[in-house]
Amino acid sequence: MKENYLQGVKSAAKGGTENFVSVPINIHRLNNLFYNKEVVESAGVDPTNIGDPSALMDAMDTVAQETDAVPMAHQTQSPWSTVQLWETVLIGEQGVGAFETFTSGDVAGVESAVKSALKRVKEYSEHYPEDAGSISWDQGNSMIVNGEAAFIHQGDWAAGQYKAADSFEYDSAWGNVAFPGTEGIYSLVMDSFVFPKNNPSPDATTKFLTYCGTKDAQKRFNTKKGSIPPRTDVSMDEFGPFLQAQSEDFANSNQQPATIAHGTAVRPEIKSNIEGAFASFLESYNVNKTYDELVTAFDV
Amino acid sequence: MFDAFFRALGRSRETRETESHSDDVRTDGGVADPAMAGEAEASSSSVLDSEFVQSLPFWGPPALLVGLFVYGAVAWNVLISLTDWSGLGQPEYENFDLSVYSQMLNDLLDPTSNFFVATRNTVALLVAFTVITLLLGLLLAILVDQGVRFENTFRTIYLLPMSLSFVVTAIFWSWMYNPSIGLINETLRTVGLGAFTQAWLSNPQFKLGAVIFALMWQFSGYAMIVYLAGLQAIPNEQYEAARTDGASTFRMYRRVVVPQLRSSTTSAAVVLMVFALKAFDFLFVMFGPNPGPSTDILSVMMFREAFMSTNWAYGSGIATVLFLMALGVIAPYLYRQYQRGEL
Repeated sequence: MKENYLQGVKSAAKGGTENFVSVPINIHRLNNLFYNKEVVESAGVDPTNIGDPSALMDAMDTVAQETDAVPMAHQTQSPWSTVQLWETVLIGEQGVGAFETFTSGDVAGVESAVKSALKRVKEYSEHYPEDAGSISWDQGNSMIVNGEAAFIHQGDWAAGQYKAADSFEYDSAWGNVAFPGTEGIYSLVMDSFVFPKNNPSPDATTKFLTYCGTKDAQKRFNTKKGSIPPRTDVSMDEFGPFLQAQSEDFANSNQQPATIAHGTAVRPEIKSNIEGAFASFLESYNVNKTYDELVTAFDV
Repeated sequence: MFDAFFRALGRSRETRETESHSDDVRTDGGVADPAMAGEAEASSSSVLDSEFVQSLPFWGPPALLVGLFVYGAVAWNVLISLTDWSGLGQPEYENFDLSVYSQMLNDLLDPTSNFFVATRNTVALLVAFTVITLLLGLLLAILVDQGVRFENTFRTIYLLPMSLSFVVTAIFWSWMYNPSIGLINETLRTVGLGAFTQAWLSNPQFKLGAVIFALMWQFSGYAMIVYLAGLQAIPNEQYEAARTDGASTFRMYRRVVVPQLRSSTTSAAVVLMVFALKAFDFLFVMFGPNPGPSTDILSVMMFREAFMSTNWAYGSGIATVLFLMALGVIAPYLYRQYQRGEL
């Protein structure tokens, strides 16, 4: 079973310990940029050609000038979407190394990287919908479906909404690329079943976890959930073109970092503190103050 | 010891029986049957016949359940706040100290700390929400009490928001406050006040105000009902007397009517204040566990500390603070009721 998992998945399944403590059942990718093809084409923007987070800003400027659509259908009613946008921008600008220095707690060691990503997100905020603070992420996502917005950064669970929409087809109506600057990186949002320490029925747990690790379980679970199997040897025939492409990207990825926003990169308390820092960032857009709060987020 | 207690209970009944016997009149106005009284006297020395034991089946089970699940849980929560339980795993009930509370005191001295900010917002919410809701409720009650047509319909309309769940009203109000398509901004634009439109839920200046306004909308109907009951208890003669003495409407309400609504105000205020302290669901549905410094309140912070950060002891500490604040609101009220013999 072990040989069929990529390195990043294996290290996440160890949860910072020496041994495997959980069995991953599915993987969502976090670093996607989804777009409405009609909107980006009418703006004359080619998403596959956006090289880094700064070029994305230029592309969104173009969308704002050339069309009536909202460039980025981001929500700010609750802070988690901005946490995941910021961490993806950080990886896109500075690479996984800087991100992992940050999650290890050495925030000061990557001060300029952190601040630069914060500034970038602040820039992006000019291109959010006017009502970003009153909508949920799926309301933002439906702006992509309705042709009211060009781009959205979300995990690939967003594609479920496209699939459910009438006549909104993959590759003809919508497309996706890795978030600019993160090609070859597959940011993991995993669901895993753990082996708890206080466990009255260890044998049953072992049996169940063994099943979770089988190809059969991962195929059954992920075709329904809209994610890809963590095992790289599961046949993707039944998955549909989007998830097949995702799976291919996953198999070819060089790095598979964890995520802060979805709780795999840092401990719950730190995650909650970081979310708090971003809740106040959304109220003030004060880069230096947020940087200080991110530093203290790790004092626990 | 218990024997003595039961005997005392039995005796107190016995004395009362003899007293009523001597008057030959029972409290219900009927004449006591001497034979029945004699029977009661004969067996009253038995523990099983005391009022305490006889009434036990009625108040015993609920008292046990409430004691265990309400007061027991409160006590357990206080106990947890004295440990240093955090992270996954079980608490250790070994070293108890007040470190959680001393940390809170330190946080209160630091105006940038979450606890300070949440406390400030909680107090602001408590005061503003209670005062505005009472005033609006009083106004509505006075208007509905004018003998207008469809009085009952109006009463129902104003009270209906109370019956909605906070999950519903939170989502509903986040649509109302939507800056581009929400009813509030649309109305402002329609009447030519477009300059006053705001991003109500993103602008930190208006966020808490927007929450207070929505809660006020939901609760003013309740305040109205309480005041309406108070108003209708005032005899018509008093209105007539005030009129005869030539009092203006405003003066009549200020001098004659409103002063008599004191007990309505107190009971409505207590309910509203206790609600304000636990206004968790509305904010949580609207903003999630992190509403941001302008709107964070203690109940949301309590949830965040306990269930997001796994700082169970600190979360319990906040819960204890909220409990004490609620007690601070209720205790004076109960004490006054008790003094007046209304309890």
